[in-house]
Parts: sequence; C-alpha cells; structure tokens
Amino acid sequence: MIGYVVRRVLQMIPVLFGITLVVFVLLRASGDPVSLMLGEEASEAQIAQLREAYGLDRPLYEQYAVYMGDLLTGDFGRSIRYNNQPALEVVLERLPATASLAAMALVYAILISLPAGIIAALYRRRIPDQIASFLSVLGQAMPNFWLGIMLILVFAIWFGWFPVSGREDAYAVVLPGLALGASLAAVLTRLLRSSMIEVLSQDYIRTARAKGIGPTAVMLRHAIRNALLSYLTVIGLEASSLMAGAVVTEQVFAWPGIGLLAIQAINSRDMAVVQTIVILAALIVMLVNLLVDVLYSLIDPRIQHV
Amino acid sequence: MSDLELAPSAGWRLRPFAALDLRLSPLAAVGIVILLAFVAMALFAPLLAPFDPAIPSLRARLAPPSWLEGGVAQHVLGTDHLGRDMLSRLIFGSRIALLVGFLGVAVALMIGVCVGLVSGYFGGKLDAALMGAVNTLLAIPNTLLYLTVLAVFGQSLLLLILIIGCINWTTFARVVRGEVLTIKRREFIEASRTIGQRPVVTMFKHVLPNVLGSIIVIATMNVAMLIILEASLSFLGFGVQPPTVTWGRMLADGRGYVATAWWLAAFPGLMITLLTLSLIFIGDWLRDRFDPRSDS
Amino acid sequence: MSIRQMLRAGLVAGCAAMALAFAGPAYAQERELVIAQGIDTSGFDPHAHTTAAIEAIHVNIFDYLLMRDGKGELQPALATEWEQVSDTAMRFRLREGVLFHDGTPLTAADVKFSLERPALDESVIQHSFYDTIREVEVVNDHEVIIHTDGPDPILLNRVSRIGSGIVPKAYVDKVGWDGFAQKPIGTGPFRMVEWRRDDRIIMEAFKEHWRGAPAWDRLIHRTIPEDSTRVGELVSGGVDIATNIPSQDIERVKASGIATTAPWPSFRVMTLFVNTKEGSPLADPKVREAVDLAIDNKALIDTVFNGLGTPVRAAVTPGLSAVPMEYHNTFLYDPERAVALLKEAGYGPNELTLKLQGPSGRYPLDVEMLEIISVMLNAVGINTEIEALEWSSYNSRIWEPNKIEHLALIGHANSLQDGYHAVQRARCGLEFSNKTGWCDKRFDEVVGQSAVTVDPEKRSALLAEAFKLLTDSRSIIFLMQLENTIGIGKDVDWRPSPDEQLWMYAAKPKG
Repeated sequence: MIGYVVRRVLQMIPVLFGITLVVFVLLRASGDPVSLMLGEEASEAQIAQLREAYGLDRPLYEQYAVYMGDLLTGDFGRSIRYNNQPALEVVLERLPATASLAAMALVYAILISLPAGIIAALYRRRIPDQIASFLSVLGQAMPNFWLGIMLILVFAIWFGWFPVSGREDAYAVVLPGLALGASLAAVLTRLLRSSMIEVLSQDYIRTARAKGIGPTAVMLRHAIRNALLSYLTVIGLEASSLMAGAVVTEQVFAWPGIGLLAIQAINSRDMAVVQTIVILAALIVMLVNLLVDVLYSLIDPRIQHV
Repeated sequence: MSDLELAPSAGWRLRPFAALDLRLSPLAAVGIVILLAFVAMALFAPLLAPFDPAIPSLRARLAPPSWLEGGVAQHVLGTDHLGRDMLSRLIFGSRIALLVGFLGVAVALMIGVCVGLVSGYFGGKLDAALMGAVNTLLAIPNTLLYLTVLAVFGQSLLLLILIIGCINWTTFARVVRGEVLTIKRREFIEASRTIGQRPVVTMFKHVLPNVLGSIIVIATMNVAMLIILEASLSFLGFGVQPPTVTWGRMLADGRGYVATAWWLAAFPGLMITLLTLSLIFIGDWLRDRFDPRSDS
Repeated sequence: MSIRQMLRAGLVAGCAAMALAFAGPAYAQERELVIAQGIDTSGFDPHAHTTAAIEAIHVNIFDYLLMRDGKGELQPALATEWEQVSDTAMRFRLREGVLFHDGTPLTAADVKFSLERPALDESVIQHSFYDTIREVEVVNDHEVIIHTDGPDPILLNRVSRIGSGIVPKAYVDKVGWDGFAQKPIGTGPFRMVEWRRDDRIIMEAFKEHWRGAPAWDRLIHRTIPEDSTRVGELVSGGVDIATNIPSQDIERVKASGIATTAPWPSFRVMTLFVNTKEGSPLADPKVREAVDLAIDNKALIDTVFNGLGTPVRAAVTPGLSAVPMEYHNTFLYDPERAVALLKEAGYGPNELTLKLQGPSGRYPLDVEMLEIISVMLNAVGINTEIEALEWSSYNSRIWEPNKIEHLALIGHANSLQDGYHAVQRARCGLEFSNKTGWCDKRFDEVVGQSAVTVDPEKRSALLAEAFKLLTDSRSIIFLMQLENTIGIGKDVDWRPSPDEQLWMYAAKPKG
C-alpha cells in the first residue's frame, strides 16, 4: 500500500512538469502582461522598456528555463499585476476562501444527492423518482452563474436573508456554496440512482430479498455500501470541476478566492500567479484522486494495490 | 495512475449494439421529438425566423413578450437590449448550440477512440505516454485551460469546437482503453490473429460494438454539458463572438436584466434547459437499452 | 429535564441565536463609508499603475502638490503657491505642518524623492508622463524648484494626477517599494489599515490630516466585479457608493428608495482606428468619409447606452485644457452622401467588405457598439465582418503595427487632462500613427510647437489646428464620450467630480 502511494506521488512529477510547460507556452503566446498593465495610454517606447525590465524580451525557452530554475528552488516567481508580490503568497492567501466555498458546495451536494438518489432508486419510475430526475436535470442544465444571480436576487435582495456578496459574515457562504454545489448535486443524484438500481438488481440482493429480509435492511446493508464506491470515485473526479466552477461562482459573488484570482491573472497574463494556481490545483486534484483510490480499497478489500 | 479511475459508466458490462431492443420509452419519445424540433429549427432558421436576428430597432428596445403589457405584436417573445427580435435570435441560436454540442463531441470522440484503442492495444511505453497526457489534461482545471487556449487561438466558432474536442476526449479514451484491455485477453483475438486478420482491424471490429453503448451515453451527456459550457465561457467573456447568435451569450448578456427585463435571459435559459432535458432523456433511454441488467 | 423540555429549550435558544445573527452587529457610533468598484488596486505604489479606477482609491491616501476641485479647477494642496521662475523651472512653496500617517512631517526632500522617481527611473510605469522633469531641486525644507528639459506648459497637470502623490522618503528607504506597495503611507485624509486582495481595502480616518479630520471613521473599498451583484449590494444597502451602474438598472436603483444615481462622465472617448495604409480600401479618404457619415452617433448612443453619452468629432471632453470644444456634442451623419462617396470611390452596394475589430468586455457594451456600427455600415451598402476578442488578446493585437485590418474599436482616456496628450501620439512614428498609417508633416509641426509653447492662447490655437487636421484626416473616427453612472446611497452627501476620482473627504453623512 505504501509503495503504491509513493509510486503514485512520483508519477505526479512529470504531470506537473508537463502542466507548467503547457501553461507557460499558452500564456506567453497569447498576450503581453506589460501592455495590458499599461493600457491604451502607454507609449511603445515605454512598453519596450518595461518588457526589458521584466525579462520578457528574451527568447521563450530562456524565460522558461529561468522560471523552472527558480521553481526548483521553491521560488514561484512574482506577480506582475500585484506590484511584485511573491506569487505563492498571493495564491495561498486565497486558499481558505476557495476551500470553504468548495467544502460548502460538497456538503450541499452530498446532503441533496444522498437522499434524493436513494429515494429515486427505491421509487424507480414513480413520482419521487421523476421529481428527483427533473430537478437533477434542471441542476445540470442551469449554468452556475445564472443560478448564482437568481439566488442573489431572490434570497439576498428580495428576502434579505443573506448578504449579496463578499465573505464578511458567517452566512455569506450559504448562497455561493449552493450555486457551486447544485450541478454536482445533480450529477451525484443521477449517479447514485443508477448505481443503486444496478446494485439492487444484482443476484445477491435478490437473494436477500427472497430470503425475506426487508427492503430497507437490504438497502442499508448492501446496496448503499456498494453504490457508494462509484459515488466516491465521482466526487474525487469532480474535485477539479468544483475548482473550475469556482471561477464563475466567485466572480458572481465577489468571493475573494482562487477562482477570482485565476480569471484576473489570466486576463492580465500574470504568469507567475497563473502557474502557481495551476500547479496547486493540479496537485490538489491528483491528491484527491489518490485519496479516493486509497479509500476505495479500504471500503472494498477485494481491491489490492501492490 | 491506477486502473480504478474509470469514468462512472465505464464499469458497466454493456450489451452489444446489435442485440438491442430499440423500443422507445415515453420519455425518450419526448426527448427525440424535442431534439428533432431543435434540429428542424436549426436547419430552417432563415425560413422560420420572422426577423433578421442582427437588426436592431431603436423604438422597440427591451419590448416585453407580446402577451404582456407594453408588448409589441410582431415581437412575440419581445426584444433584447438592442431592440432585436428575441424569437428570431432564439431560432438562429439553435444552430450554434447544436453545432458546438454535437461537433465538439464528435471531435472529442474521434480523438478519444483513437487514443484509447492505440493505448490499450499497444500498451507499454506508448500507453504510459498517452495516459500521462490524459492525466495531465485531467489535472488542469478545465476552465483555466479553456480560457488560456481560447486566448491564444481566438474565439471563432470553429476554433471553439476544435478546442472543446481537443480537451474533452479524455473520458472516451479511458473507456475505450479499459474495454480494449479486457478484450485483449480473450481467445477470439488470438484466434483472429492465427487466421491471418490484422490485429488492429480485429480490435476495431470487436471493441467498438462493445464500447458503443457507454460511448453514446457519455456523448449525449457531453453534448448537454458543452452547451452549458459555452454559456459559462460567454459569461467570462470568452464565448463565441457576435454577430454569431448563441444561447449562451444571450443568457450571459441577459444576466444584467434579470430584475428589469427577465425575458432576455429566461428564454435562452429555457432553450438550454429543454435541449439538455431532451438529451438526458435520450441518454437515459439509450443506457437502459444497452445495460442488460437495468430492465429487471 | 425531559426530552421534550430539552428539545423546547434547544429550539428557543436556536431561534434566539438565529435572530441575533440576522439582526446584524449593532454598532452605530462608528461612521463607515463603503464603496464598491469593479476592480481592485494593484497595490499602493503610486507610480505602478495607469488606471483611473485605482487612482480613485489612492487619492484618499496620498496628496498631490495641486488638486482639482469639484469643478475640475486646480487648487493648492501640498503646495500653497507656485510661480514660473524661468522657461524651464517652476518654484513650489510647500504647506507647513503637514504630517504623514506615521507622524513625520512633510519636507521638500519627500517631494524631491516622490517626483524624481517617475521622472528619472525608466522602469517605472508612470515614467512617460513625467519624463519632461529633469530635476527637483530642494531650496529649503518647504520650497522646491522643478526643472524641466524644455518649457513644459502642462507641468501643473502632471503634479496633480496619477503618480504625483507625495510619499515619505524615510519610510520608503526603510521598507522598499515592494513593502510600500503593501503598506503605504501618505498625507491624505485616510490611512490604509488592511488590504485583502480582491475583497476589500480598509482605511481609517487620519485625524491629524492638514485639512482637518474627515467625516468618516472608516472608509472601505470593496471589489465586486459583476455589475448585477454590485447593483444588488447598492439597492440592499450593503454598500453606500457603487460605480458603473448599467443603464438598465438606473430606474431600479432610484426605485429602491435606498440610493440614487448621478451621471459620472468619463474622459474616455470611443473611437474607430482606421487602417489608411496602402492596400486597405480605407486608404481612399472618400471611403473613410463615407464610414464617418454612415454612423449615426446619436442613434448609437441611444440604442446601446440608452442615451447616456455624448457624440464627439474629436477626443474632447469637458474638463480638459486646451481643447477645441466645438467638436464636443456634435457629429456628422449623412447616409445618402455616404452612398454617393462610396460610388465615387468605385464601390457599388455590397461591393466593399470591412472588418470591424474590437474588444469584448473592456469598455461598457463594447461588443454591442460593434454590432450597431455594423448594422449602420450595412445600411449604406458596406458589408461588415465583426471580430470581437476578449481584451487581453485584443490588446496585444492593437499594439502590434499592421494588426488592424480596417476598423478597430479603441477607447482612450486622458489622464493628463490636456489637449496635447489627446493628439500628440498621432504624430508620425508614434502609437496612433503606427496603427493607422496616417502621417502629416504640418500636424507634427503644430503639435511639436504646442509642446514648448507656454502662452496659453498661442498654445490653444496650435492645438486647435492639430485637432482639425486629425479629425479631417478621418484616420481616427471619433464616436462618443462615455458617460458612466454612479450610485450613491441616500445617507451620503456627495457629488462626483468630473475627473473620475472618488475623493471621499468631500463626502459627508446626511442627518
């Protein structure tokens, strides 16, 4: 098991390396941070001067080599947009905001999908199933910026129950969490429903039922536990989509997290910050996936990692 | 990474395509009718639309739907913030929704199936390299990837479709590869080799029917997802640009009018929901057909 | 205690806690003013940005030598008197008894330090706006002489704008500019206490400020990028002032009873840059004129901006010095003549196709402008092809010569607030000319002369000729001056100034 984990962690290194290269080339090829920072009023001479000052006039491979050299010594570079502040600090200070948002979204997704998926499976093709299906389709069909704006309008402006934006008080996370978690809840509901149905139709469940064990007991003992395997896998896989959704949700709710930082860093071609975010996000996604796999094998002892 | 990270649907043992029972369920029928309606709308948009979707009318800015107070009779669903006919824009928008959705998935499918087949069949270093690429793509948050790629290559419709395809193929590749790995060990592959058939041909013949089920299911879901993705990209300013009319952009532009002119966002939102709904109905039905256990 | 009792007690306690939480914190003694803008500051290095919206935050922390009042007139600030001592030197008498936020007094050395950095350090973003300054000479503790390379008629404009905020030399020497960018010190009415990036900047009143203590104990700048969310905060009382209210929400804000709106004119003028280089159909002046005449600027403003904005024929806006105002609030529109001109140039209906390029999301409703202009050009028989790109990609494109194919939408502000700055970059070899390909000897001559002419009347006459040459060339087609809208809470007594700044010392609580 430990050997397996170590191997997986080692496998992350080339992936991270590939990611930095991809992001570097894409960002540098698509725009110039200096002219973005200076805006329309700048002079060409001034742009050239600043490009030189930031080393942007050097060939790409050289810039990349310098960047990677710094990175290997733990220096993530400095933010051009934020007056030369260390990129790592700029990114890490946002982590709590995004983490709390994602955690809230996950809580919503689980709280909604667990009962909804199980009930839908038990009452398959009957009213509760159809309601759950319809809602989950709606949850998937609604872009989360749209859901966020509607939530603000109804619950923050009309009813005044929650703050419109920001994360000043404890209740602020309620609406953005829901906006972010809704589509995940929908995906998980649909998934749980279908894997429950699958498990319920398996021979050993039928046997159990035939033996006279009540349906509820069967559910709890076998079906849910088995269905949870794929449920967990998907939560792991969706961790990266939560991060992606956060970009939009944070923009709507002025939530000062990594998503908001990311979109602005991309828009200002703030290379060091974008790289740091992508590396961090990739690390988190890969670690979550690893965690899921490990959990998976703990739940299901049939799976052995060597 | 481990062989455990399969797409949700990948683990199912599916019924071969040929052995299918293709009777429609009522929901699937509804889904197919809606989808066909949208396809017809897209094909005959210039005939169906009462107005040119690009022509503004200063006097009819933000006219509500005709049945509401202040509505104008000729603009049935009202007009947008530049005074353009909503109905005509919705009709023309169906073209882009379907193009982005279906072509995007088609590109992803082609790449994914090829990579999956090659990776699974040849194995070894090639497999490791290709799966490394898959893992790299999966580890970068998708939105960031889209934004940077779109920033580099511009925001035309064709590019968006290509980019969507080039980023979304990973699920297909994994499913196909998983299937190939299972089938590779079976006797009939060996058998076909001994009777002189080229192995790749054999793979195609045997693997594809087996994975077709899960591929179709994932594909229908992906089409729906891509339509919403286009809306989100529009929200962030990276969507398909005018004069092309897209539901996603209409929805994104309409978001500022939720409190003052709801129809700007409500109708494109409804269209997106309807299309997604129809695709999910069809996807569910297909899965039921393909999954041998589901109809017990 | 029975289970039922426990439950009841728990419920009561829970409800009470909820009620308390929703009632919100109940402090009334502290006067707090909250402003919401779409963007955050990049830091507090006064020389490291060029953005009016960022300066609108900084202006509360730093003082300039001179400052514009509510009407846009220059008034004494840290300098009490100034006089021209020679063609290339100006003496400033500094106000006495001015304290920085850390309690140290302002001296001439601080002024020298603050102004020489942008003037002499080429790697500083603000450098090009200060490069006429050669030296700042300290005469005594409260007197400096600014020496310029040649006569500089707009020196006073320079020392009253972005980048001319006075900072304490000793403090910067101690913490460095990177440190200063995090924790700034100035002489302004508010001192920065905490900055949470992309969230809020918290400032507290600086009681020892030389104008007297401000009316607010705390000033908070919030960053809320999404327009509808910012409006939502305003109408629900979450913020007191919100910038850039979209036109469709003006009625909604007024109807809320919590806030009202005021026009917030901007110096930004929207233009179409025209590729007049050889090979472009727009190399023919007749075609350029046809494009100009085909665009109904007023209808454009009415359709896209619901009537907010002013048509212009040059980069002139109220509040700029030395600009010919006859180009403001006017436009040419004559579609029949446009058709005729196109015919003369050899283009029948739908025989000419022009590409309209523009950014998406940089300026308010920029894509909508492109769409309407496209329809207007179609109306005179010009086919159009729109290419809208998100700002960062578009930006890199407009800086590269030859990347403008036919027409490109660009908006220019004027942070020097002077006519010279509006036209000087259209000289041969400079930014505008590189983009449009238009190059005119006479134009270069008059602009060059205006740069060293101190006499205001002669200078205005020279610049007026330059404006005329540029407008008539139609190498840039001027469309409109943008007018933003700012939302102001009912409890705040404040009128926006014409220079896009959020000077909150002037704001007073009502009642």
